[in-house]
Amino acid sequence: MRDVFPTVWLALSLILVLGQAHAAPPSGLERLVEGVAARVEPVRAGSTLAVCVHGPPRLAEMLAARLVTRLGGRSCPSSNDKFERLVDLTVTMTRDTARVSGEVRAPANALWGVTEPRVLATVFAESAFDDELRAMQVVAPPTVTPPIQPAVRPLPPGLRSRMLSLPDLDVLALALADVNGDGSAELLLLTPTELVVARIEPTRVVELRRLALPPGMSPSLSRVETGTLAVRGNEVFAHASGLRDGLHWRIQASKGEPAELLERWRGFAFPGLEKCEQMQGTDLFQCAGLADKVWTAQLVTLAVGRITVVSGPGMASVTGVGGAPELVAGTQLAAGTLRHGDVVAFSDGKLRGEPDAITVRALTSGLPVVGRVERLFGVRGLGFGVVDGVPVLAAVARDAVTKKSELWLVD
Amino acid sequence: MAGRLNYLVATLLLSASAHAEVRALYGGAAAGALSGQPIAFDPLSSRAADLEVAALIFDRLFHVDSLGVPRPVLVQSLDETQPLRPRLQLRPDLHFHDGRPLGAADVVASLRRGLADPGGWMLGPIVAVRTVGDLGVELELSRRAPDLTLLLSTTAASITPAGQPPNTRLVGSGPFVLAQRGSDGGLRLQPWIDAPLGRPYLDVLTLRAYASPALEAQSFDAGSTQVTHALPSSFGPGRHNPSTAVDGPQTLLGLLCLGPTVSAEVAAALAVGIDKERLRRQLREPSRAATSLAAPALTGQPARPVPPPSARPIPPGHLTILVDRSRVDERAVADRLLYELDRLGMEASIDAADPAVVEARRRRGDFQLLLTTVAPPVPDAGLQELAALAVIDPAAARKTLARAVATVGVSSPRLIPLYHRSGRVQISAELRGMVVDATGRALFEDLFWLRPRREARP
Repeated sequence: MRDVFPTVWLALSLILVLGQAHAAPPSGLERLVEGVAARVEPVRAGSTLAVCVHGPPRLAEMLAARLVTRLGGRSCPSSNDKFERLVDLTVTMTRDTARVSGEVRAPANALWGVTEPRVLATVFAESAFDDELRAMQVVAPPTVTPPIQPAVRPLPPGLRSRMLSLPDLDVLALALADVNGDGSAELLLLTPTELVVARIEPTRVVELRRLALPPGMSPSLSRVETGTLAVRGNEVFAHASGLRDGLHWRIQASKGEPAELLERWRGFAFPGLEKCEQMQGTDLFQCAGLADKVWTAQLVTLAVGRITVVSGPGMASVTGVGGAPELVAGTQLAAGTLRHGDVVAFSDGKLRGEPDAITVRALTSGLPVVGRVERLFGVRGLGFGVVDGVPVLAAVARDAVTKKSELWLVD
Repeated sequence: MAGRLNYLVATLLLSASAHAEVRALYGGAAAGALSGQPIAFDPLSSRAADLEVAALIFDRLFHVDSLGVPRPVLVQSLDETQPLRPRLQLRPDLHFHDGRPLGAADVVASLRRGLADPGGWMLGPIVAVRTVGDLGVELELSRRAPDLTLLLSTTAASITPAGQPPNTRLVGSGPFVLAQRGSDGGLRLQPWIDAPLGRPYLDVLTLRAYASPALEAQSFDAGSTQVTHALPSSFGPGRHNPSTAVDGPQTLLGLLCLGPTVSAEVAAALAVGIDKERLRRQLREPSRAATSLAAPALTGQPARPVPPPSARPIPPGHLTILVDRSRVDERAVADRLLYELDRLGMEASIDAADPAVVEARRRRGDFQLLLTTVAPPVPDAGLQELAALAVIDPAAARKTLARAVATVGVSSPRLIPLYHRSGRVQISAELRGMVVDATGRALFEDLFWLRPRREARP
């Protein structure tokens, strides 16, 4: 009996301690987790789950981890992850309350990538601050790519290049345009489902926003996806070939405040060429005013005159210099102005896995080469603009295997 | 589905050199060799040569992309609000090659044919199917089906006009249109401009099966064929047609099927007695000896070492190995198998029969030993094992799938896995875009010339 006593005493103590622990009120974070779980579970129906939480990074990260533990599934998925329900939440902090709101969406979004996500339930939960939540109250900085030291590759005198890393984006086209009126061009990137707007800083690219393209599969797909992106004044026209409609984004000032209009837009437009049509089942476009079917084209008025650059099957040309078309090689082309004058830039267009290159030629007779950036990933798009008062050529290059993307700036 | 990642890695590595950053050019003609003589072009066939052609002519409701993810082909949306009664909404404006619209009635009729035909075992969980308006299709399932889009990516979900079996006209909605059938069994295909996933790049694709590897190599040497299964070593010494090899992942299963008349003792002796390592050396493609029905490239598990062959007493008797005479690779393996059986003390002979005869006898179970190749219907290890089971018992494969999602672990004493090999083709050096996928299929629809050339003269 004496031997048994310590064991019984220990067991009783444990029960007491556990009972006290059980009786402790849930923390603020637990209340948020339970509030969300109560909304998610009825519509989950055994489906695989992905949880995405936006907001103050520490709180968002902790809440996502706790929800994944509580509900199962995974945290914020990449585009290739498979799941059947997406819990998409935003957490906001007021003076004394943490508030979670969002939606539970159905699988169509994950499977199709292009169809309208179905909202199965809205989620709302809130909790007064406690010490744990207060400790996580840190204002979220904007999403940024990791700052890196710009890589500099030597160019002939007069041209410089530097590289900034980008998040993985399947870029179909790019443009530089000042869309927020701050006097410096932002980077616009067209992907198969989104238009991404980013600010170029000296050592990094800061993503400002993503605009979803109107969902709905195109009736005419091509074996490779393509797209057009054109900026005309304060209007942006973006259309990826996998989607039925494109996006018309109009930015305007209203009573001193920036206002915008987003609407569906049916059509394709290259810079300076507004009436283009995709050729049925192919990645080629036929544009009004151009004789050839093209992959990409641009009509731009520069100091040297009106320049047309086009690339298509078996040809790439620059028209407007010395009258006759001058043939150059290239898949991606763009014409614009750098500090040293008007130039045309084009990519080599190498096979995937082989290094690509950008060649810059002066828009003068004979198109002399003024610079070349070599050993790049596959170049996905080229564009000219003025960033922080400096005219630059921007190029997005992506490694098809590692999905690593880079932004190259040449000035 | 556990091995998807492994498959993805393999595919990405392959496609890295296969897909071009430079834009593909439209136009030109190319000729390719089939892996065997097609007999029916029916998507419900289990023969690789039939399926090679069927995949070019007919579309499936979904397809598995290079990342291993099912993507819609003919379908615009899938509503799974009622998990046991999912609804498909078809894309509008779809047409068959003869201009007829492709609608829900065609899909329903095609799926019903798959439900009634042994070759449609991949539709296992589907109990019934009905139209909902012109473009809506409702499925009735026997279970919740997270694998539904994967199953609807298999050849069993290929759509034919009014669900009819393919006739001599071969009308589908796939990337190529049959323009002409030659007297030698060759097929002349042209691109379908309204193909749901885009027009193929070539203007003309000619496909045919060759009677022997030597003839196939000769044709490649002469430049008449640009895609071949022949080895470079079989090309002539002064060859004028430089080539590159394109390999897929090692997902094709070399399988020895035992007929119902083969005794359990013989089956047990063959299972441990065949030297698989020596057998696989007969193959032209990269391969490894098999210890399971599912390929390690799909399971994601490292390949287990093959135990050395061990001899067991075998009752006296004679066995016949049935093999498709148009399958060059299988004939070479059958020759070696004959030696292996002799080593085990068993008399054997090879019965190299016409493809149609082999297929008919397989369906009847009228064989002692059948040597065949099994391709996974989609890149999934569980479905590959069921595909192997379906060679001898499609009803059992369908029943298994009707109950639950396919998982690894299927085995049968009547199925002896011999090796896993890749699909390999040798292509002209001027061609680009070719990929051999995890089902062993050469994707002719992505093939293009660096400088498009006209059709070669016969």
